[in-house]
Amino acid sequence: MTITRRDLLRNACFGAGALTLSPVLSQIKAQAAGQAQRAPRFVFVVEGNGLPPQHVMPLGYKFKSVKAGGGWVRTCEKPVNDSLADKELPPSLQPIKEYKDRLTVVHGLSGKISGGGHSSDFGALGAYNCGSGVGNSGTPQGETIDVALGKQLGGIFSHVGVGISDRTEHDVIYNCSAWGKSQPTPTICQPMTSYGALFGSVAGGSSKADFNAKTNLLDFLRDDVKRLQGQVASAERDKLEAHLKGYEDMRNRQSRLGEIEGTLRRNAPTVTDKFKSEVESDRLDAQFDIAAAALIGGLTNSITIASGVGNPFFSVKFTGLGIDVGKHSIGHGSGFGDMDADQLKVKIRTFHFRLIADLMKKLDAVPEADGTMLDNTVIVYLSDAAEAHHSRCREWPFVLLPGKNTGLVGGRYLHFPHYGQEGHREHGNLYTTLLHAAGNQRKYFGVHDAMLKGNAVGDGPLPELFA
Amino acid sequence: MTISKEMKSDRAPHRRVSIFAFWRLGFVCHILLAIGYFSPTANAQTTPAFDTLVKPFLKKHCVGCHGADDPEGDISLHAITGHLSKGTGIKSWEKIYHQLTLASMPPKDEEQPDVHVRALVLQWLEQEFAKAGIQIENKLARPGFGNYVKHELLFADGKASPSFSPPRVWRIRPAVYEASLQQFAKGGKYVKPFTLKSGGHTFRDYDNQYVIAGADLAQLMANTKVAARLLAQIVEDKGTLKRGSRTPEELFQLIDPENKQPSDEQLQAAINWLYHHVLLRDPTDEEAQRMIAFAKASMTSDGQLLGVRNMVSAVLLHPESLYRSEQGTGQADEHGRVILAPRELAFAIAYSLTDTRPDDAMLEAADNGKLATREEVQTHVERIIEDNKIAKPRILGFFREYFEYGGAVDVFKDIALNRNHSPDVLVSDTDQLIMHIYQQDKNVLRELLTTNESFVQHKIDSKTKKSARAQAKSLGAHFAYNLPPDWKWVPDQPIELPGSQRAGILTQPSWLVAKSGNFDNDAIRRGLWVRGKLLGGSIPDIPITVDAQLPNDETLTLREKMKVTTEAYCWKCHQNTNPVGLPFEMFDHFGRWRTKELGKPVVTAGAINNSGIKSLNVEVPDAVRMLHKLADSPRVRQVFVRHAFRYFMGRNETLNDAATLRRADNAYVESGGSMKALIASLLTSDSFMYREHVAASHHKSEN
Repeated sequence: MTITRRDLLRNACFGAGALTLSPVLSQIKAQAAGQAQRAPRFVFVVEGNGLPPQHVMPLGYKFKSVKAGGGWVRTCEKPVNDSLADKELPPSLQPIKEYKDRLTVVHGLSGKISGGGHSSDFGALGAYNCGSGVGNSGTPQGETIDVALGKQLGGIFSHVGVGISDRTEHDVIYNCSAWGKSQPTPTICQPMTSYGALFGSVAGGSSKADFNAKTNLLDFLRDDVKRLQGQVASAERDKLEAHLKGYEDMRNRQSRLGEIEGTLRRNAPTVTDKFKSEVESDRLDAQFDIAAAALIGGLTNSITIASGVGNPFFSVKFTGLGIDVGKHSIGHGSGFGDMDADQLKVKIRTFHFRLIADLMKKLDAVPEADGTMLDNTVIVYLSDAAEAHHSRCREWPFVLLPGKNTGLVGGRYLHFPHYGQEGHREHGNLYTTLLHAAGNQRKYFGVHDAMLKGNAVGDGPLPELFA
Repeated sequence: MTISKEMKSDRAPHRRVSIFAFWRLGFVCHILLAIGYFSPTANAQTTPAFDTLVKPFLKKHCVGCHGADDPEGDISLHAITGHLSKGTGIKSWEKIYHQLTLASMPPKDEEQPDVHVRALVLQWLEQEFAKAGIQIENKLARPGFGNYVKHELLFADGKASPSFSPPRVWRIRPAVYEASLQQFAKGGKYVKPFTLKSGGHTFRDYDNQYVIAGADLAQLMANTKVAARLLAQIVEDKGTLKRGSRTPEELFQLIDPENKQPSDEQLQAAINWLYHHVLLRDPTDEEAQRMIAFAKASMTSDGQLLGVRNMVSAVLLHPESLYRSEQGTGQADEHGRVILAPRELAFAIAYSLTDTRPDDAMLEAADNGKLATREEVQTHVERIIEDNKIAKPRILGFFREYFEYGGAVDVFKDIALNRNHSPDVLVSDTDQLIMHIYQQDKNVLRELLTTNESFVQHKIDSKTKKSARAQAKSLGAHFAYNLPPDWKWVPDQPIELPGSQRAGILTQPSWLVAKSGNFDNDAIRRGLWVRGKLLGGSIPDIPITVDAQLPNDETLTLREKMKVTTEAYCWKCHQNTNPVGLPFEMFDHFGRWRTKELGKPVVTAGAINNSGIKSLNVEVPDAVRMLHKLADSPRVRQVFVRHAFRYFMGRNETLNDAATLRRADNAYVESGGSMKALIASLLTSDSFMYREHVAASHHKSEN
């Protein structure tokens, strides 16, 4: 049940640098360090309440279960690396069947370091344990992969988080993405709010004068904060420095948005009723529209679409799909109508993949370099609750949809050896792979599972995923 | 002469506190200079303090395990140098700093360093980090780390040095922001730009936890735009243009299409209106001139309407409306402290007790120089506490965050297991019990820990202000209190429950559910609460080396499942949670009292242990008797006072706050256990009213 302290320290990834700076200072420093590099761009679609591996497993495979890592996992002694060309996809993945050559299903990774339960919260994308407890999303222990990629790739908005929560009154929540330790980044849960945040500069009624007025105001406000800084003790100046930096970032963003005004106007989504709908499926649909427009408009290179992710936001009721029971109850086995819990989960998941397919079509329609935007985009689908409603994270299934020019392989079914077996790998290895694809050769992203030993633990990317 | 001899020559407890107070002040540096320990010329090349103080310290306390051969944790300190400014050994020094700050090294079973020497080593490190340009976080200031300050030093006998707080800038709470926006720009569709962190096991609104940046700032700007539109709005009514319903005449003058060139007087009048309503004061001449210049420039470049709205926005986003700034004013006293300015005090009092800005009476007093002494502060603190017409959500807020019972609504329970479970009603019942005890205001902590009274499905009707039955999802919500199926609801509450079954908030179903899992009790979280919130103990987070799971065997009781935690490695921490958590096994995970578990008599025995008080360390047969024992303990009372301090001051206590804490404890005891007296004492304390004096030239020179 335990390992030595030395093992622990050897594996601890978040070193003294993160601890040294106060949260405020490290925020400033990290923002200053943001670098601009070219695509691929990334879209993370995170769906709450767990992803049973079989929901995304090509038909025809069977894996027995064995006890490992304190519970049951599906056995896989030897790695699987098969082409999907002759495989049939399960019902959940049918909406993206025309993109099968770009699809890679990854099974067998684990993520026990992230904790598990109803959600691993920030730990799902951070590959660390954020100490989530009952009714809260824990505290980020470092940056999450979506934000790390955004920092790496740069953009007017280095990262955008949109999604839905189980409660319609939630406007902005902090649930799965983080800039750094103790620095969660928001998930905007109302489409109109995300629309305003991203396309406000060209939204109906706003004028160039309005835009300029904001620029003038920001100059005045910066001066206000500087004045206060001169009146307070040095320890408090960090807080105000963050405030000041916020205004300066906005000011810079104003300039950059001004430069691409024409592009933004062409690409801003059309506001329809679904943007203001009370129905979850409508709002999620709208958020996918906004995400597509933000990518096409060049506003960002990293977007997370979080559908009912994190504690306590996950019990979404998809009434728009005719399901009048929350996902929490479904997770506990409740059926609805003539459908049992598993059928309901598949129905909801299929809806998510339909939205993903729509997003892919939109990106595929935009020429870019020698291909289309889709060719330079990686879509990553996962659940923040790994493999189950009450997850243990011994297995963490992923669905990847890497574009042709991203350097990552499509059309494959990969199954890594199961938890603890030689050759076993973690979700942190997958995230490291994504970072490498984005041009960041980091050794490892996140924190290793301290219980893994020998050849079942290792740094570096997953070579099997490179094209 | 060595410093340790100097310190050891005076070991009276009060002297210890005094020395620590100096340390916090930074005065220890002066002492050290005076005795030639550090000299201004002592640079990184010579580091005499390292050679004579730090190196011997490391050799004595650290190198034994962290030496050259097979060092613990792969951390080797035998060859570490004191050249931090050259960047050598920084990571190791940071680790050393954190371990020493929390006193978590050397291990408890090793000889412990003298507290004064430890303080001097830390002082040396802080100076060296500063020289190297490294900002090091003091973990003792983190929420949840308050208990690491030694209780014995805070409540030692004798006189403590006068207390004070560091000067601070503190982002206002979301509720304050929302309330003030609604006061002067009601009706806008606003979003919440600020949030409070979820808290976990500590208080949520600490002064060092929040900045206004990133997405929060974007939301804040969006709200301001909405408010500015409301405050400077022209609407058409039957063919005529008139001011919007929220637009004051002073602002309408500026945007009136008939008025092409607003005069300086009109601008001044509008600015005055904005300052009065947003910042609750007059603008200074300099501020008014600056604002007029800005408004004119913006009107010229952006048009009259947008220029005026920009001016409105500039006032709405004035740092004074977003931060509670507490710098102090005037000359420093003999202890190096300055008292808060009257307006700073007015805002501090208001924000401590309410979610609204200071009322007229307090602002008037501040502006007339009648909020400058402790007595004057006390007058207003007591006035607000006693005035039932003034909403004080902060009072119930303290108890909610302290006891954490509100979490009951977030614990999922399978409806098939108990259709009568109504967590929202349970939480509301506990809210009322707490406010009932608060209103009685006698032996409040004892009552909170021992009363066998309870509200059951009770609420006060918002219209009639009379008792009413709270709506629950089922008719059996009262089963949580072990009331019989045919129990008839009564308006005259609280009602009495059997004293052998219930003792205060920790036996309320809301608390028991909040500290339970989906399918079982959570004796560990319950134990953690008792250890931290009543006994003042500290337990580190679960090490990531631990696969923290109990066996999933339905034939075992929770106590039997928890046997795995008695393994030597686990027991280091679990000895502090299990004995004080398992007595609550007298309840099931819905908060119902029980005598049997899995068909066998339930075992409810436990023990109060490791309390630091010999007479308090006893075995207990169940939670009720444990709570009665704890309620009698002065230590428990003092730990409660420490928690009240944290909530109302928005920070952890330091040794420097010893005088404030003792005064508050005395006020509580002498008033017969009055919570109101305790709060009043805290809000009239030196820690509340005084700030460390920071020479103006110090920060001017850096600007």
